[in-house]
Amino acid sequence: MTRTEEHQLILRAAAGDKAAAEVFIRAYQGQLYSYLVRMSGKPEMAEDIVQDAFVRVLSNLDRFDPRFRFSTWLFTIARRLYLNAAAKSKPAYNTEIVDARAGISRTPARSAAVADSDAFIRDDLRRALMSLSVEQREILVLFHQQDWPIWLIAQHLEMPEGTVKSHLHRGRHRLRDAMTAHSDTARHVEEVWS
Amino acid sequence: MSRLPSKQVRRLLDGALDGDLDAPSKAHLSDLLRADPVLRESFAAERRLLAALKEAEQPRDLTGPILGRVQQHRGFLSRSARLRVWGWRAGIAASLLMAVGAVMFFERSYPSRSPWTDPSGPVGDVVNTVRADAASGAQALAAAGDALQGRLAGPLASVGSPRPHLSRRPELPLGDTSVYDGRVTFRVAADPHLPSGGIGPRQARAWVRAVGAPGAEDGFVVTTARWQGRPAGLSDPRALRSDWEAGAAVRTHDEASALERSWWLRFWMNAQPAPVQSLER
Repeated sequence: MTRTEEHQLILRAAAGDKAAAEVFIRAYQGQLYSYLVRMSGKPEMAEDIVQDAFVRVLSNLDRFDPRFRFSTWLFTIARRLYLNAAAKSKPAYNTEIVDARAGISRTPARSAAVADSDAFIRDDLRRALMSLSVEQREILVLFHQQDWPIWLIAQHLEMPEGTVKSHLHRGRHRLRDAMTAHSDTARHVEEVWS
Repeated sequence: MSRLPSKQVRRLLDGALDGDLDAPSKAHLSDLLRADPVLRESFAAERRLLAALKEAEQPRDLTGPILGRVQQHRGFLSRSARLRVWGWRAGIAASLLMAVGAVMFFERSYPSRSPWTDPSGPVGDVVNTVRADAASGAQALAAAGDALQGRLAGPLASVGSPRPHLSRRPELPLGDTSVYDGRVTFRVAADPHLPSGGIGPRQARAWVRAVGAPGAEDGFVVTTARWQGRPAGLSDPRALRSDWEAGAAVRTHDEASALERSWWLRFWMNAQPAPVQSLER
C-alpha cells in the first residue's frame, strides 16, 4: 500500500467508511498479532491487544498525523497497550533468571515426547525471547520479524540508531546463548533418562 | 556453536545479519565461512533461529469484533458529527440545570403557589411531615439539653458562688430588682406612663445602683436617650434616679475614660432603692 493510497483510505475511514477501515484491519492484523505474540509470549494477550489497538486507532483517525505511516502509529499504540498490560500482569519473580533455568524442571517424559517437535522448538524460542529485556526483544522482533529498518525502529522507540544497533546485537547474542543453554539442558536430561 | 568467534568475525557476522556489509566485507566473510565449517554451521543456525521469529501463528480474523467495537464507540462518526453529539449533550445538561434553577427561583419567590409547599397536595404532605419531624426532633434535643443543664446546675449552685447570679437579660421590666452585669446594654421594657388613680399618667422612674464593684464609688455613668451622667446632689453617689422611656437604651460606662466597664448593677423600677448596706453581694 503506497502512502497516497493509505492516506486516501484514512480519509475515507475517518469519514465513516467501514470498508476502508476493514482494509486496514485485514492488512495489519496479522503483522501486529505476530509482533505481540513474540513480545508477550501469550497468544490470548496478543489477540486482546490487537483488538484494543485497532479500536483506539480507528476511533481516533481524525488525530492521525500524516507525516507518519499508519503502521507505525498502530504499532506505537499497541506497544503502549502491551507495556501497560505487561506491567499489570508482571510476575513476582525475575523472569530472566527463572525462565533461563526452566528447562531443568521439565519432566523427562514430556521432554522425550516433544523433543523433536516444532512445538518444543517454538517453546524454546519463546522462552529465549522472554529472557531478553523488553528493548532487546522489541528491536529484535521489529528488525528480524517485521523487517523494519533501523532508522524506523529508532524513530518508533525514540532512541538513537546506534543505541538500537547496540540493543540488536546484544539481543541476538543473548538469544543465541539462551537457545544454546536450553538445548544443552534438554540434551543433558535426555542423556540422564535414556 | 561451542567455539566462540573472534570479535572481528563477530562484527562481520553482525554486519551480515544487519545487512550492512559492503562488497569487500561480504567477500571476506564468505571466505571465512568456506574455510571454517563450524563457523559456517553456527552462522546458519543463527539465521535459522532468526528466521523462526517470523513463523508466528496467525490470529483468527478479528475484523468483525474490531468493527463492532469501533461502532459501539461511534468511531465512524466524523469529527464534526462527534462535536454535534457533544453539543447536544451539553445543551441537554444546560437545559436541565436551567429548569432546576427556575423551579428553585419560583419556590423562593412564590412559596404559597409552589406545588411543593401546598399542604393539600401529596408532595406538600410529605414536606410538612418532614418539617414536623425535624421540628419535634429539635425540640426533643433542646429538652434533653435543658434537663442536662438543670441536673448540672443544681449541684454546682449548691457549692456556692461568691458572686451573685448575674442576669444578662437585655430588658428592664417594671419593678425589676435583679442584679445585672453593667456591660449589658438594656432596653427599657416598661411602659413609662403608669396609671395614677385619676390624677393623670405618671412618668416611670428607675434607680440604678452599683453593687460591690471595686471603684464603684468613683462613679459610673448611665446613658439614656435623654440624659447622661450622674446627677449631683443625691445623697447616695452610687444611686441614680432617672426617667425612662420605653425602648430607650440604658448603658453604663466609666465616667473618667468613657469606656464601658463591668459593674454589677441593681435596678429598681418605680420603687425606692434599698439602703446600701442591705444589698446582697
